Amino acid sequence: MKKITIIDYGTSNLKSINAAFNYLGYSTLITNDKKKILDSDLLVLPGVGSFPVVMQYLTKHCLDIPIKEHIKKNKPFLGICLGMQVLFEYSYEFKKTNGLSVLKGEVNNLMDMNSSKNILIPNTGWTALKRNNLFNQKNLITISKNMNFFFTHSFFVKPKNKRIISSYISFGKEQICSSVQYKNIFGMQFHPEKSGNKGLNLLEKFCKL
Amino acid sequence: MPLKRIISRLDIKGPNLVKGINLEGLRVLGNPDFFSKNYYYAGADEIIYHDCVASLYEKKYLLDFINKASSNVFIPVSVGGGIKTLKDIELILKNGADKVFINSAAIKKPKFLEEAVKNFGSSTISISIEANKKKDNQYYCFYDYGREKSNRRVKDWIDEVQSKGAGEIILTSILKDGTGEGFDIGLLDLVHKIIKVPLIIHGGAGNSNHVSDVLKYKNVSGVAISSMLHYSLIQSDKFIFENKKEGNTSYLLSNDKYFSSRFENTSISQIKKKLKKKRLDIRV
Repeated sequence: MKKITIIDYGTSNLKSINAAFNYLGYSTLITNDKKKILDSDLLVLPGVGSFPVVMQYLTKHCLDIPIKEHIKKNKPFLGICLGMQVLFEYSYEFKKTNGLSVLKGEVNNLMDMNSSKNILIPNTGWTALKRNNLFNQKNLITISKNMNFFFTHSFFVKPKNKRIISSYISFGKEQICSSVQYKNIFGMQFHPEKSGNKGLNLLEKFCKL
Repeated sequence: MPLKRIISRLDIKGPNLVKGINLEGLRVLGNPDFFSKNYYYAGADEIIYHDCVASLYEKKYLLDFINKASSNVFIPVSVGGGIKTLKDIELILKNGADKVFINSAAIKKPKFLEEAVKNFGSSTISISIEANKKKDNQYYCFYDYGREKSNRRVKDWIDEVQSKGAGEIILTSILKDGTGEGFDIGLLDLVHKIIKVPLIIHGGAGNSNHVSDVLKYKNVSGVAISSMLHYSLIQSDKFIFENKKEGNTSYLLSNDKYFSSRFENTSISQIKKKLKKKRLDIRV
């Protein structure tokens, strides 16, 4: 049985993500113990709260080290929402804060987009994913008509390398990155654990990696 | 723009799902777990739990329902009613809710809203507004499940909560709640132009045309429906009533057809089909 570990950093709503894995028949370990994190086959970093608070927690408890180790060993890693955002170099949430710098790029405020004047923020609700033509790996996410996922966020990632963007969503007349995939790293701005069957199917695919 | 949401709203009193008219005269309808599970499978986009009494003792029922929902309902769950402290919010989130909504505590102390947003983030904190007209024919915010009046006008309060970081607004019309007469369009016309965060309209849905009437507004992100969905489910073959021996159960035990005449007998999937035909952006 694969060891699926969910990183516990206090504020996050771990219950639903854990419940989703259990529903799929996988048991998980929820922990902030460095050794146990290093020992896992699949690592999940959920995300609720704010960028500076999460980064402060991760560095204070030295969890950045086992996360990077896990990724270096080429084992599958999933970052959800804020859990994806912290993989990048820095974010402008409240103040400029450094992230884990596993991926190159930054995290910006939706309010700073040109389209933001006519759009309700936070960006909350179900949205269809769109294909990125520059992405040419085997995509974990099958992008087809009616592939709707649940989003709720005010910040979004801007990867430097556009080829790691595995899907986009529309934001007014612009588009923003809704997921990334680079080697063994998977990041989702939406919540697969809150996106009904399609979300559960996606998590199952991750479990089978 | 995200798709328009069809949200099922469950009002909870102690161990039971309840529903009234104008937020009054609550009738017991059954076990909330049964309803939320059915709505999830019928294609609901979100579930709202509203605790009507929210006394400390009775909160344990609510937490239990959220707990169960988080393990078999894989869509967002929003919870409110009687939230007074940051500890309350933490407890509700820890038990599996994704969002909480606040009314009374924010009206009494707007700074509480700011504190909640700072601690849990905008997208986790919604504001619930119970609106009704007073004698001067203006809409004001009510609280404590519609029992108390405040001096805050709805429009002013929306401006204020948006500036204080509320991530979403759930707007209930007390006058239309439980009537099936259609949503309060006058109220919606008053506020929709000043909306900057997602707005959920609640109170009055009696058929799918009522739903499409409000979803046509650009700034309406979704509708919350309770009576129409509950009474339809009760009339279906699937329905099983578990008597918890608490509250007014006479409605379910009688053969009252008053309500079935006011609400279209439907389901979330049927409503969505009709909305889709009208070319509204809906998740199917």
